Amino acid sequence: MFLEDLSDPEVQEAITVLIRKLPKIKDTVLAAEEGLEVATSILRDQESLRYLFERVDGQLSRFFVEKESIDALFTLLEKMPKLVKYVSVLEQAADFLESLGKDKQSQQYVLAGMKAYIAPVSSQVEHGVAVIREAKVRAEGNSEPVSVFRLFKLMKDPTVQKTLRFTQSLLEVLAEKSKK
Amino acid sequence: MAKQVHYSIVIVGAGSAGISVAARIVRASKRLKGQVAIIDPASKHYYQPLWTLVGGGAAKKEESERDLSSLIPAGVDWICDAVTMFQPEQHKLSTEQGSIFSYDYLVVAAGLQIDWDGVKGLKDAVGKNGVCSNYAYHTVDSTWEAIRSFKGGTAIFTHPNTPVKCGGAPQKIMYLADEYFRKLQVRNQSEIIFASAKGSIFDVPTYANTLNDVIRRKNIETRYKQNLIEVRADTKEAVFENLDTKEQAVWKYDILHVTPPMKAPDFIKNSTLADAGGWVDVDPYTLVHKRFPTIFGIGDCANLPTSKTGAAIRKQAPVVVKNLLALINGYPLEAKYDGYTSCPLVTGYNKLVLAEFDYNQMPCETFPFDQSEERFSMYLMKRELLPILYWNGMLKGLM
Repeated sequence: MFLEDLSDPEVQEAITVLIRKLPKIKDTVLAAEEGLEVATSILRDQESLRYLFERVDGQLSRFFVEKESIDALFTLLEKMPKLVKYVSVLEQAADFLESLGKDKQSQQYVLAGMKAYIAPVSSQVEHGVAVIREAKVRAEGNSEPVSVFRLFKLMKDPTVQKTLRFTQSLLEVLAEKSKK
Repeated sequence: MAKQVHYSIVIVGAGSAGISVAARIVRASKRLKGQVAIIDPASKHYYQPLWTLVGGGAAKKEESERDLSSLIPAGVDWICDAVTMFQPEQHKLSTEQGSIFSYDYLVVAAGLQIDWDGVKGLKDAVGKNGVCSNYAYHTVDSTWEAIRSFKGGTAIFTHPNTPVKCGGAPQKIMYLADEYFRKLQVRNQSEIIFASAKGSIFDVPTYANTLNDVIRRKNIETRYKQNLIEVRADTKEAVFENLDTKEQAVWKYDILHVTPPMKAPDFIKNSTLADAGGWVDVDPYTLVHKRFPTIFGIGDCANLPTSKTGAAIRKQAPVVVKNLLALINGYPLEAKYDGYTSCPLVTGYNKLVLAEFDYNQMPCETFPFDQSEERFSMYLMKRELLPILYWNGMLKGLM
């Protein structure tokens, strides 16, 4: 049986190849033997091993995860599609704000729009302040006593009349409400 | 010999639709950066919805204009050239400068073409002597000039017998004009006529009811089924044809605000991409071409049975990009466009009806209140917020 195999050309070719490779196989076996010896020696060197493990322990301790963390990681993975959706929205909002921050023309546009809405109000306020200031200056410069005749004349002024009518109506409403 | 260049995706047109799609593609797939080209011969890009307010003197036209180069997304090549011919069977197109571009996928977003020659005498008359139009950057100032210098008389506002960009725009400027005429105290000596080729003020009944109230309140006369066919600038006469009876009528005007006829761009109309009307023939839901499965159509140039607006494009762009990427990756095209469109109908200098509806002309409103009412808040949104969202959101592929 064995001799029959030897007569097979394929087996003969394989033996030839193996014989040719024998020097290389020898070198490899020797190198493996040396490596094994080194490993055995290291394993026997308890002191070095203890030192090595202590260092690794110290370095990696902050990466050691508890079961709780692993559970959380899997929960997070489950929620990932939803989180990605929110993060995408946030990313879009951030990109929009970034774009707006760089877009001087749009900033000018908003500013001009705001000014247009504020202008009528601020001009009214400015007008009111100017009226009060002028009245204050005039009042301070006038030391004449206000006579009864002057008071009668003042009461005919439409603005005073309007104010008095409002005061009268206000008093009436207040009286009615307080009765209830 | 013509220069030949290949890109994975070629987009024709750098308007709202083209830039939105380009920005979305490179945001969604970093791999496609450098593989996308956008072809457009223009050097400027316009935020056209602002032109209603420019014509009404409530905004400056310069605020609507930006350099196109500043809007092209990073990772997209802008080819400043005009497409002249499509060869969809060969996945190629030719340009005016003699280049040939081959592509794996094509997005046609070329907008529409204003047909100034569609009304006799209009091209020469527009922009002077009371004939004005909000529909071009170079003519929009003439509208404000005509409105603010109006001394009373007849003001006619037209709506043509063709699809138009933003179906509500022809009447918005009329409402602003009415308010300004009252401010000038010339409204009592004037007549305002809305001469429309359509049969009603608006297609969606909910909003049409409000607009009919506005028209009554403002004492505006409506003449429907009337199509402007000629402008006689020297005698200040406009010739209209009744679309039902074909009778012609000549009306005198002091102001004539013309919404010009609009049509599909010639290079689309003359190609195999077009339907019988000349528009890109796409599936109304997936937006993919009906005969060429690697070609998409979007925006004003597509034959979608909805109002042609920027808001519609905002909803079409994500559908095109999702389906395009699905096609590239061998997945089914699942994204669907429902025909959403929106028309912010300005009814005065601080009032607006925000119409939003779909293919079935059913309102699909964004806000939790009745948008068919005229509101100051919605006017503020159009005037102040929408331009910002357009430049920094929509054109960046973010919204």
